[in-house]
Amino acid sequence: MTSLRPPFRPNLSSLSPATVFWVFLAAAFFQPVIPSSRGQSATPAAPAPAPGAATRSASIFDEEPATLAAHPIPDKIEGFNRAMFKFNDGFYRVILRPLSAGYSAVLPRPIRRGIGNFFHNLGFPTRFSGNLLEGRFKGAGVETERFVINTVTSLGFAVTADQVPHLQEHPSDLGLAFGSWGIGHGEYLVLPLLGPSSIRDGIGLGISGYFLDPVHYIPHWQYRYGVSALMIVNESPDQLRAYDQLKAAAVDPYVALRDAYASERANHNAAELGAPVTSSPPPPSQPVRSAPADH
Amino acid sequence: MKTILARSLVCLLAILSLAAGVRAADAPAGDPGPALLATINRVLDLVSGKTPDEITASVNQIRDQMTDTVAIAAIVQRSFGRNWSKLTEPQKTEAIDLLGRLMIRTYATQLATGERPKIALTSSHQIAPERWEVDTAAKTAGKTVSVIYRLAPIDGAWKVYDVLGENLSLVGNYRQQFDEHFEHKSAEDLLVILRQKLTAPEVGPPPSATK
Repeated sequence: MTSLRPPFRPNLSSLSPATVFWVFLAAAFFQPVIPSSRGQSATPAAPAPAPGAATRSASIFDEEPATLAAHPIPDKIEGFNRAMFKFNDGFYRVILRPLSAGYSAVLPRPIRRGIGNFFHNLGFPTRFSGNLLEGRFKGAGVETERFVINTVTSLGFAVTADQVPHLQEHPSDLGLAFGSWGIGHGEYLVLPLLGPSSIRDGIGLGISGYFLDPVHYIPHWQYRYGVSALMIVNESPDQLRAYDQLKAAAVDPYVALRDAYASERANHNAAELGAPVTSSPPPPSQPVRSAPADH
Repeated sequence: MKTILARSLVCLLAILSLAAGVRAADAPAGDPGPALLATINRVLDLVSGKTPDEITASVNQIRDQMTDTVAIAAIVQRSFGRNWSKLTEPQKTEAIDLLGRLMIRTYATQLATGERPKIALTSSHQIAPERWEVDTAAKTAGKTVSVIYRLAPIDGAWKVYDVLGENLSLVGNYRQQFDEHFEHKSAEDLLVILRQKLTAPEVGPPPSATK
């Protein structure tokens, strides 16, 4: 892959700033409460009922972890990943943040958003191919319609296709397509500058970056890297904002980001999601992460 | 929800909880969606456009607005999951306080610096006898994000015990972190981290980034 990709774009682009923002905006509603007669008690709940003994009065504390999060991505090279996470964190802080601050001071948000829309529109080949490889032909068709409409009406600087009710975006990429074929993540992988990924998604990213990214076909490397740098910096204000939010609230930002990445990718592939939430414990045949009954 | 019956139930549950801890009560009647939406908008009114200092001063107001709708102690307890039993009673109390304040400080500050989002109730339905799910769409900065609130009967009312943004569970995310933390570290170590987080200066985007 010769073209420089934006930092954490293939990963946090799906984990959009708005997503992270809203997850934790909701968290902002959770006020600190010292247990009182009016508030909720912090005392442990009653022990979880035995499997099969669940009743309609099952406690919210009985839910298995599998109902709370996506299946985790294996992380056998955690040492390497944590080191890379630290390196990326330093890069964002020392290099990208000053650039981002200057850029956002010069260009107002509406213009940045227009530029972002333009680059997002250029990602059509990847989304189209992903949908096609997943067998989502309708999604591929919708993506084509969106690309045509956005390009014709505004050269991609405005997302005019959003105004059409049946043309909502069908995001996809090669990693998700591989997932739909039953290929697992392999191992969690933090890429230099790019951020969270996995072996599977990294391969998909490499292929799409080399063959499907229009920026890669810009003839002169100076222009190619220049455009890529513009993409990076243009997205950085929102991306850094989301990153800051996650980092500030997390006890372990590395784990928080890894879980967020797994959830975001699983959001596209039902097979990677945890079991649907119910008021009853899962049946004995259902795989549950190794953990004693939660309290 | 503030009927005499509900108040009586709260009192009764408070007494019962002394012996039995938090337990789900009988499901309250009615759709909690509209009340939750109203609460969200009241909180947005409180924090939108304010400076971090003003928000800090408004934390008690936010708390008052949310008390009837959000079960913070339950959220924290569920976030700890099986590790909750590793905390002493004073540590449990402090964990609820610290984690709650961390959430408020971080995200209310971020909220105030961004565009005021528009919240729409997309659906509200009972998913089990004692579970309710309220789906909302939050639109901000040209993007729409799905936020799902899960509620259970707690202290005689439907209260939020988890929030999912685009399928990312707040409780689940914290639980992953806490599970890994407790593999090698203690409850006191965790409280130290939380205290440090709260004493560290807030790091946010440059003002121009949100304009």
